Amino acid sequence: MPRSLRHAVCVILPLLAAGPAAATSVEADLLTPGAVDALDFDGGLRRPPGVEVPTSPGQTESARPASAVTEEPRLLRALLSRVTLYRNSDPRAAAALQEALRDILRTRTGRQAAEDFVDEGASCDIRFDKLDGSLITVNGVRVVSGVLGETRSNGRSLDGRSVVALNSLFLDADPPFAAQNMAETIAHEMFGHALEHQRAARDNFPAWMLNLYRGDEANARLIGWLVLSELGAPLSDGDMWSYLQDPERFHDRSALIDPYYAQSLSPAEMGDPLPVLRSRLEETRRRRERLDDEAVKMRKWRIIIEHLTAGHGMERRRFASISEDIENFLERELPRLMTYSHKVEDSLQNRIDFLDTEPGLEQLWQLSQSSRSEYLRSCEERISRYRARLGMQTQGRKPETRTPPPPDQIDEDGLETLYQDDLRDNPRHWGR
Amino acid sequence: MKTSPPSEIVAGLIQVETPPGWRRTTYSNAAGADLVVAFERGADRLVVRVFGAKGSFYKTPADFLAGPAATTMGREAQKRGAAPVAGRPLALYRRRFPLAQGGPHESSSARPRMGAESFCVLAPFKDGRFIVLSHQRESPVADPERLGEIAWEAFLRGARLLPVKTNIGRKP
Repeated sequence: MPRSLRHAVCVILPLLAAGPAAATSVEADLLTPGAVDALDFDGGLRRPPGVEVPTSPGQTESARPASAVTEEPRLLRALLSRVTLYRNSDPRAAAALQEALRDILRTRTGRQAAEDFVDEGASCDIRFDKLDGSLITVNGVRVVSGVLGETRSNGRSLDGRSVVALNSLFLDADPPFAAQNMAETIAHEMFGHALEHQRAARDNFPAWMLNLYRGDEANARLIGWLVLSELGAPLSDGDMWSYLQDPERFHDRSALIDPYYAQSLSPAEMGDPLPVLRSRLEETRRRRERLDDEAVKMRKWRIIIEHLTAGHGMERRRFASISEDIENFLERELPRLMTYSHKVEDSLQNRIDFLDTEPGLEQLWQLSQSSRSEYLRSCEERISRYRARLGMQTQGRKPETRTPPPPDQIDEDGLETLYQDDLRDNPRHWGR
Repeated sequence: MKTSPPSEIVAGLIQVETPPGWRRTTYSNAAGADLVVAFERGADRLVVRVFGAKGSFYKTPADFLAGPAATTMGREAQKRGAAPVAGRPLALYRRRFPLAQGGPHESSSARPRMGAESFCVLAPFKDGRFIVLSHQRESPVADPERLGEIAWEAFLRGARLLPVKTNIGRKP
């Protein structure tokens, strides 16, 4: 099945000095504070001709239409005093960022996180960038397949602030998809990663350690999911449901699939990470054997579908969706999972080897010292609250997908029933 | 990860027979309130979960049935008959659940890959805790040989509730 790479990359960059040419280019794109006001960041109001809005703290609210004096414009303005937006070369960029921020502030979680962002004196830059990915069409909907966004911390921007980058492909994606996913992505990156990096710095929690803490990603993802949920968007992200149903299992499984997660640790695991990493290494190898077994079983289902259509005359079109899933799994998903499994293994082995060196032993000591820190405790509490909130919000939500399959398709359960019935009624078809 | 003993008592509430050759894992969610004991082989898992303690993500069986661990991404689980568990017939449910998609850089714009789960919910104990037994297949691929399902049926047959007095006085 088609997959799309997602946002949520938090890139901790070394302190890279931007060259003079790069600095000039960025400055040319920058929306100055004055230009921000010119973008109509006043909570969604469209100013009628001749109506002035305050452009500086010295101007009074009475200069504005009464309806504009609401919570959202106040918060939006406060937020924008902490954020720099970049215009980019695409004229649609400014309006798109404007709309995404408004959407975020329409949600309870977005407003609360924005208040925290402002109150805690956090700051960041937001811009569209050319990130890995492409536009693909899934059941007629143009979506971004690739990295949706990323946060670069530690010195990438001109003044050393975090940079939240959105994939510029959003500008050409299906508008409802783009709107909801940009809001989610900005909330995730800005209120998850960028804010958290600044909190950690304030609490003297090292950035390298935050990058190893699994809660950094979980917190950001929960914020993004909550914003999506509170916007009423389809809750079609499997990872969200997977996390909610069993967070420990989610972390456990994710560690075997992706090199980033492979190294991430809970606070308890930070206290003694080597046994955890060795266990993951062993499990990664076992998992590859399991994938081989799954491929064998999947090919058997392909044969079963062929039997039901060619042998029993069932309509082939009714198996189109599941056949596509099978082909995608065998041709794309499985090779990808295998590739990543090797990457995970290399990543784990390198990490284990490193932790046996002198600098590694120093890291082990530091991890152990920080594993019971107040900072991590507060992060864990916030994650628990977010999980509980999202759990409540998902109760009663109907199953939703942005890309529903065509009607009359036989699903996995239906196919299994057909096979078991045929096995019972016609065992000779199956050599029994 | 250890070799499984022939049977295991979970939270002092229930004794289950561990299928030979399956690996045992145990952990908890909700800051230790929700205990999980699982036996795994390949893509199949037989799971005992204990909810309802103080701090649990699910206070009651009704909460659980409406929540993300019992629905197919929000859609109610389907009732699929009943089975005798610890001496009394219990409704069996069936649902699909999304499999972990990959790293934080990845997700699906299309339908996620789904595993399958059969489960039953035991009546709450006096202290409010309740147990969910389940068979999860963590793969989009059903096993044509049904080895996991066969082990699940045996697992349910072998489950035994412990005397009530054992249940008193223990809250995680």
